[in-house]
Amino acid sequence: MNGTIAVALDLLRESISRRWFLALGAAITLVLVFLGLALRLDVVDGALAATRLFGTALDNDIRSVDVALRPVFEAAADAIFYGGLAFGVLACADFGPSLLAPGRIEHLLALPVRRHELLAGTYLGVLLLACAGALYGAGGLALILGAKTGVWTLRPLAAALLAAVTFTAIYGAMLAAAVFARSSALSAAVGAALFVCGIVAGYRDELLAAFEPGVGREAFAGITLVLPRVSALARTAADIAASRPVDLAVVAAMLAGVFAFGFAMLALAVWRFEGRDF
Amino acid sequence: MRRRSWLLVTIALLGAAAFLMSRGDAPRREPQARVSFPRALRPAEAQRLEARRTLGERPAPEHVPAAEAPPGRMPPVLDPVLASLPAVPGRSAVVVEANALRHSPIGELLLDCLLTGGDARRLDEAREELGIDPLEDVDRVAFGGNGVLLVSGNFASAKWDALGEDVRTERYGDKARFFGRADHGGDALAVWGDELVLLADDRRELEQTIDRLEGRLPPAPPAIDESSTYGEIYGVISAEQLANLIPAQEQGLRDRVREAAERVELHVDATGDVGIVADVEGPQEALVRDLGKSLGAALSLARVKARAEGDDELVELLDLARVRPQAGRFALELALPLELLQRHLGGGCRAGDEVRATEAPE
Repeated sequence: MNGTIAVALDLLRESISRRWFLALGAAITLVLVFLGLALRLDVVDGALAATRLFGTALDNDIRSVDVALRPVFEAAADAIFYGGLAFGVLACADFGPSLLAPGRIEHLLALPVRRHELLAGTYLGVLLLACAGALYGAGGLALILGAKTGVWTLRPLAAALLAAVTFTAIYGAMLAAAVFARSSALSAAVGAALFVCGIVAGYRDELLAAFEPGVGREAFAGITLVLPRVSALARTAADIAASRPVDLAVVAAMLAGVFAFGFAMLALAVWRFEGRDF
Repeated sequence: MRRRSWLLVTIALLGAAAFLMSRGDAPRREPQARVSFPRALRPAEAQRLEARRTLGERPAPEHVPAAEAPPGRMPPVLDPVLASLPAVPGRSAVVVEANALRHSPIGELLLDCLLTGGDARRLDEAREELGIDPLEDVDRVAFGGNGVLLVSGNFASAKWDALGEDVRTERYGDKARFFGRADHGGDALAVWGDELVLLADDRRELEQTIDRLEGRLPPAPPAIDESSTYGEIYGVISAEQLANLIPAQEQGLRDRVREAAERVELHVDATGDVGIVADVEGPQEALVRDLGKSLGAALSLARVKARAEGDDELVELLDLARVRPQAGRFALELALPLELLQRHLGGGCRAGDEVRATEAPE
């Protein structure tokens, strides 16, 4: 276990030194500063009476603040979810292959760390990284809107964590691909493919209805059955952020399923990794 | 851990993932569609308005004292129902488009819910007894500030004898008949032509109404302008009556309504989802603006309370409530999505059926 944590911390240190992640942090900070300076909300006892951006009135209807701000929270949840996944696929594609790079892997295997701990540590590190990025963006947004409206809600953070968990499922498959063939491009391609297929899988029921009965339908049903429902999770994240009611039992089952998929991919990577000679 | 066991773990976890994630594959309830709120006459309502202008313009009666003559020339109100609803300061006047409402989705829903078993039989008996079908022959029901209740529709086949053997009929004016008991007790009831039934506590109010319809009295300024006859329910509500609708514990808000609002125009659209708009006007712009903010805040707090109490249906309703400020006035918008009503009424109907089933004689 200590070996897993040590590897995860090592990955975090490595990520801090990468420009990609510094750029992500800077971009999130810029958006938050922009919102903090430009957005003016006129709130009366929990009701939003006016929204102004750079002094221009956007909306003068008087409504509950969280209802009025739904589009903002939904847009933020979608941006964090899809933007975060896309960025994560690109930025994290190199972690697996660089772990297995000649010279480095021999060095790591010489340390008192078991092979599965190496992969589990990398996976845990990426999970922490995804959570940190999502929490920074969503937390900053929640702070700014809370300070401006007096409505303090943790919902955007919950939505962001959902995005982070979804990414770790995708990253499990990326890590497995890297173990099978040490290639950043392949790792990114698998991540991107799973991202797109996960969006399709989120509309599985609706799309199945459009298929003629037969092999094609069964194949589609079988393949999408195991894939993370990326778009369904994104909708759920937006609903959570926008204070819409969600079925907690369904969300919990989907989250457990996403974790199970991520761990399944990690176990596959470990199976392959245990059988390789370096 | 043997290497092969990692593969078994992979397969087991993929199976678990497939099972767990399929829990979320159920069709998702779509977020509420935008409810259309009544804001002006729609083409069908303009046609309806035109078709109801049946009075025809009459010359002003010669015997009217100058003091009673309306100032300036008023645009003639040619719809008998609107002409029978004079503006009375501080009093409400509301028209319910009963036939349109009955054929609206919410009307169908209510009828499906209400007319089951014995109720349907009783309705058939009423049809037989009265000679009219209340669900088809009644067009509008209106309540005037002058205390007159009007029912418009097609009453040509109505069996007025069914009112009772001791009820005598008295002709009045050109087209009206009064029905009354020999002892002159009870409310005054009159029928104008075959299209209007009038009811009031005071016979004099009915006589004045009929006199206006037949041109013996000058037309009074109408409570509801023809251009405001949109929606399935419309009219004006007095500030006092609006204040009385606010819960007693919100005394401050009640007082503000009485202080700031002068005229509240109500419109309810039931062609799909039910959209309710209350246009509030007052003489002092600042007071009206403050009242709008107070009502918006009250709705917002009610929503927070409903959420805290776990009342998801009320939260859903209050999600769609808003106040739209305009110059010197504001519109309070409320919505009842049809899907929510179906869920709610469906449950109520099932409960009613169960009660009826247990009460039914064995």
